[in-house]
Amino acid sequence: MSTAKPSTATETVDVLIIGAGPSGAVVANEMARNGFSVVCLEQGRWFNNNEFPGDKQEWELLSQQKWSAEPNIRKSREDYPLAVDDSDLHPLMIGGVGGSSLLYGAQWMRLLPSDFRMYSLDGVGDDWPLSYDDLAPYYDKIDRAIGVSGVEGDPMYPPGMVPPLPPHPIGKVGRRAATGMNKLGWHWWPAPNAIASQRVGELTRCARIGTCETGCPEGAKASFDITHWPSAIRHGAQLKTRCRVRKVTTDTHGRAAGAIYFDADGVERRQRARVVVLAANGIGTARLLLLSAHADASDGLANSSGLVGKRLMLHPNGEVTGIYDEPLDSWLGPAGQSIHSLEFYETDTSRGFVGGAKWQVMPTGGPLRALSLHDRAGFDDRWGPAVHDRINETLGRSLQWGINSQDMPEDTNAVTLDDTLTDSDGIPAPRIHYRISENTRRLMSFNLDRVEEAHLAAGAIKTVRTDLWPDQPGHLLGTAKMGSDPATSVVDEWGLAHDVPNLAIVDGSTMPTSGAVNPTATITATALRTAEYLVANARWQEISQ
Amino acid sequence: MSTLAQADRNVLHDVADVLIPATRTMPALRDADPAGTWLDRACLARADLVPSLARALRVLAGTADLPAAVRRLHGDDRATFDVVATFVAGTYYMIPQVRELIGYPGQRRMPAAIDAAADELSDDVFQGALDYARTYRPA
Repeated sequence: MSTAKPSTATETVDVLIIGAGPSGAVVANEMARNGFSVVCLEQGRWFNNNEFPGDKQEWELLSQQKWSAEPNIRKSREDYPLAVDDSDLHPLMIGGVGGSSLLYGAQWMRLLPSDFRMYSLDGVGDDWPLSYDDLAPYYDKIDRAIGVSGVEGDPMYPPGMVPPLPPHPIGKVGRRAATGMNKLGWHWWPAPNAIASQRVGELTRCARIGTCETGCPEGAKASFDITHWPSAIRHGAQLKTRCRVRKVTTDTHGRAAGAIYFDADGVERRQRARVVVLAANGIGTARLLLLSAHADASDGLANSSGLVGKRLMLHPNGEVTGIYDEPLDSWLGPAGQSIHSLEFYETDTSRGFVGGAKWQVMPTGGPLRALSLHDRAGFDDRWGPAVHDRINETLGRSLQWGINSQDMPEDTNAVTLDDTLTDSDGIPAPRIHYRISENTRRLMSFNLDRVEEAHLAAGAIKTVRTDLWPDQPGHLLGTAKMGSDPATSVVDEWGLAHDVPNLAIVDGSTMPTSGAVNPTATITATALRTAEYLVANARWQEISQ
Repeated sequence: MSTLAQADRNVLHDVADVLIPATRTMPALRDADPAGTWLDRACLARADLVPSLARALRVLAGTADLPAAVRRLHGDDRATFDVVATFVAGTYYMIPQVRELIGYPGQRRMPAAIDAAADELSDDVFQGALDYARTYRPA
């Protein structure tokens, strides 16, 4: 018999959301403003813009550890550790209100229409049970809610994608890179960012500090603690921080009944709910489903398909930094993305692989980053008198073309529970099994070769290539696949678990394929679609009694 | 532990003379940060590495030929070398005088001119994007 205490004596809320990141924030706001009682349990805390290190002299040093996006480096109590010794990548995330949008680059990209039909078009991966057209209205609503800055008319998207705010300048880095793309005749476009180019809602205007990925000190980046939680709370949503869920509970009919969690004092408590929404990211949600196994679901909750935790996709990143012979103000934000390219996004099997990559230009930051470009040089070319030459020729004179690579869903790339590693509450930590496939390696190599050509066309005097960034990005996808067939998927097209009708999953874990664009726009659009479905169908929603 | 003993600071300054030597225009670390203010800030920012730094500096202090020892560390124990270099370069390039000399304003508030993006969308660089012939793949 559980000894968990109810959070209050008799309270059963309409909706329990687990995780206060982007998708949890969207669902909380939508459900609360439609009159549903909402409780959200978040393992982390609120962050204040003033805490972020970007405008501090120590920014580069602080970003190495205290504000690293990698939980195993940050070692905060509010995060859980990841067992990564069986993984080619070290996934990024942060616990807290706003979740990983606190530290994301806010590169706000939609999937392309072809991403929803990969199997039909290319014979690999899967089709989604919904189309671009199905999701477009929700993309539009989210774009308006968070204030996306950009330029209408990108030819690689269907008409109708209209960023609500004017674009940021692409700056010297973007113009230099664009010049090379024009010479080659390759696609580029001023990149959309979830960073306000003018004051809107709770967001201030971007001041181009250029440190978006360590938190925006200005409050201009659309992190969901700013864009959605204040509204959700005004409409009555309760957000309980430093509360870590250890199990989703079920009733005798197998429906979700709530959750057991540890509060800030480590006391185990219980929250009852009519509907449970998992918004804990593509690793945290799989972890919770596996932790929530019970007698009638011994392999994990909602796991009759056996797919919970499998098909993990992480979008491996590589980059080539070009050094140029003119000042580029390479420290100026937003960062963020200046321009993007989808030239090599679509599958072309003549290249020897399937899938593609999205490219983006970013500024390169301060002097430590400039020096790091020469890490592979010998001592005498990097240190001693040479260090001043390296700074003079590199600092402020470089730009980075990064690639975000599509990876295919594979059952062997998976999240499981570690046998020994635990978080600060003693809950088993996730173990990441992730190997980059030969297809993805070819894809990355091809794209990085083209990126070097783009730099040379733009006039780079030197390029420095990183074939793989092991600690990028924080795109955590695929571990609770969306689909129509309960035998081959975990949730339906509305995000409701096939096995547990009142359990919704709204984070990146439901994505059947990864595409190659930054996923938060898609994650939040599908979360909003689920929330609107729950609101519209509440009368018929099966619930725990 | 987030501070260094004075003896360790002295060794760090000696190492800095090897890694980032003074030139006609650039100061030595010991001269640019005489009170150790910026070194203290670096130690607070990377408090997790200070014990490793102190150990490394004490080993280096016992060597007869410091430049040769630093060079050996770079070749033989890159992880330890990187700890030392993180503090030397991290401190040096935090110092306002040094930043001014290298032309780095720091990550600070520099809002764009209100018409900057509009101007960019009116020139021949953007015309190249508008002239792109392909479109999205219908699905």
